[in-house]
Amino acid sequence: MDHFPELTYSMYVDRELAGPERLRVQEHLARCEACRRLVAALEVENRVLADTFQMTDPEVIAAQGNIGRSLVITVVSALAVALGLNWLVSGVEYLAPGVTSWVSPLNLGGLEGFFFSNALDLMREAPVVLDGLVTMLGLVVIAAIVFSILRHLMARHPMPVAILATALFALVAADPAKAIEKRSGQLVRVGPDQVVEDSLVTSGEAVQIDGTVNGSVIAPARRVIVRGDIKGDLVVGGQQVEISGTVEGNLFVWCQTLTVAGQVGRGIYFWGQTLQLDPSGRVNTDVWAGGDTLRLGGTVGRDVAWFGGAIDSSGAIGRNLQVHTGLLTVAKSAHIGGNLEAEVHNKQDAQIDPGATIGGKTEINLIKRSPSHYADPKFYLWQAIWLAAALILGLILNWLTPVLFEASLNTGGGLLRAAGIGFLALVATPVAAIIACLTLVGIPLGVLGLILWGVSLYLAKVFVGAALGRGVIQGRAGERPAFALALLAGLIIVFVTINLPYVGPWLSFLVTLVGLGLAILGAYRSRVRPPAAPAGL
Amino acid sequence: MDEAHLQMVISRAMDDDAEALGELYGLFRARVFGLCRHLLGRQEDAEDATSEVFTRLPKSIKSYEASLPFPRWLLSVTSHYCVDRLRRRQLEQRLFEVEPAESLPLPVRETSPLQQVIDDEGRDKVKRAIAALPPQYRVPLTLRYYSDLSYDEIAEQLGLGRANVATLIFRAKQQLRRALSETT
Repeated sequence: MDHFPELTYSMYVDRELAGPERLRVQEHLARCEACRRLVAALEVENRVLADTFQMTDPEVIAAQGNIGRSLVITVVSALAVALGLNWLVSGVEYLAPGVTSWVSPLNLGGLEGFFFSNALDLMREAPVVLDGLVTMLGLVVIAAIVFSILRHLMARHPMPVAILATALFALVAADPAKAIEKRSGQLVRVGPDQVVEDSLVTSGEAVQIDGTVNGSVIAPARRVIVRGDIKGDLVVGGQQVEISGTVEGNLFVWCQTLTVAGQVGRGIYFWGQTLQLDPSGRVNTDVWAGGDTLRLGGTVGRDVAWFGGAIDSSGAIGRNLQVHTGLLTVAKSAHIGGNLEAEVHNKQDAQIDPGATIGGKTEINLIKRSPSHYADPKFYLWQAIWLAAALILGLILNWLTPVLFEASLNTGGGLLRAAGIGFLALVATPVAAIIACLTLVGIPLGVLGLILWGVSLYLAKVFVGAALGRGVIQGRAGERPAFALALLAGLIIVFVTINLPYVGPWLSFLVTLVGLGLAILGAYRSRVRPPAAPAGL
Repeated sequence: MDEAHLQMVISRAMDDDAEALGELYGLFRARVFGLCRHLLGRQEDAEDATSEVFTRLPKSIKSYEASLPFPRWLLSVTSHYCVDRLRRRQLEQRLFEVEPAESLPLPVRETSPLQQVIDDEGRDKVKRAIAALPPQYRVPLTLRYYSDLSYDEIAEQLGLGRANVATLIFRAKQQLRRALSETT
């Protein structure tokens, strides 16, 4: 007996055979039990496939809840990272003793003095370092945008992107012409007649450089002594660092005490307890330092910026001295080529000898210490008022143009994409508006652009609140949650987040970026617009 | 929603009634998303595609004819958009290899792993296996069993011959059986 191919039976159960062929198959099935069993099996398969395809729809509802889960994952990850960092610091201390042990975790006073009075003042009131921080933040955001773009490209064209990424990495990675010499031991020493041709990385209790290193030196150690010559940079994390020789590059130091009696070809970047520049010491460019005490007896070619407990200046500074400090002492022998700008708590904390030479102007400002706003009930009242205003605005905006709220934050990719678009809008819009204003005919457009930009910055919180709220509040099955409720929930989360101590301003910036991005995505989707909120919104 | 009411909503939507368009969105969003999810394979893409279909609806609905049931028409529009998107995603324009509609002698086979599926957990496995199919098999299978399109309609949408559609669906089922046999 000739059987039909399985493909024919597959078409038969799909009811896709033409009349005459269908009849022939039916006649064969009437005679062949094996083929009848096969056809029955194929029919069961079809039913299973149809049922499986029909059960997909709940995903739509499940997708809305992801952001809540994402938030939990983020918080747990942050905790995991914090714990991991804690273990990492312990590991570092084990491998490179002296790097952190002098900052005693048991000495809260020491921690307070080291971190809180310096680091947080730094974050709040230090314009010089703020430039660096903003640049760093800009780089971080640009990196996030590049990462987001790469991630999307990667999904579509993995091989070319992988090759490109590898090539880029190879270009920016360590110069292949320079090797790195690694040395470890209780005492790592480069003797007076020794020359290390490459850069040097050490691990041990103490490092002593009496000879010459033709590259840079990275030396986490309890004690580092440089009597010889380092052609590149010196990067140190430790307890005591003494430079009586020459470092032709920069000095990047985190330690308890840094004493410089020799020459530094470029700048010193220091964070620790005490930095002492002896009268014989010379720094050709800048000194940026933060810590407990700075003693400047030597010569600094350009600027000095100090954030810390006390500064004693008796040497020469080529340009400006900018300090934010508890106590400023400028001796008679001090010579400052440019301006002296100081922020102190009280006028008597700035003691400037009349005999000191200051080439530019002298400005002493008092640091105002206002009580924490968290203790003020009015702060909470105002936040509640701002929240109510944002809620009302959001409801009005949703009534007028609901499509602006369509963009979602259901995935990490969506968040990055919104942040990326928001960053571009944040930076590009005012630039474009100003350019438009430079052409006279474009002034109305430029002004309108700037107004819209300003309004969007304010409304950014509303868009983020709406997207967050929809993610954390589940609606009835098959429908989205009530917009007002979702917006209220989301705005509460946003207002709490942006008012968190210390990280609040940064999170507020992030909310602005994401909110701008969401608004633009929503507006883009409205360009040929439909609707009105569907039933239930 | 009864048929008469739906027809009224459709005809208001064709006159650019925003509320009617919103009602259609509420009624069919889940179904459209489900189809996009199956065809495109990624949730983010499915959300984008769903949004795009409804963004274009005010314009596209003007070409709707009542001879075809509206849900079928909407799913057809959706699958057209998704297939175009898949084509754009692939470097190779020919998303669907034109397979010869061969006739093989019958190895009589009586059981398939698909027949063993009796509960939701089993259907989850099948769903994952479908999602893992390459687009050239997944798309015609989805159009057949999700959108209920005939071979001729699928052929027209994908620009293929009827026999090729039959072969692709057949191969899709073979691959599903293999995948499910490996996991059980």
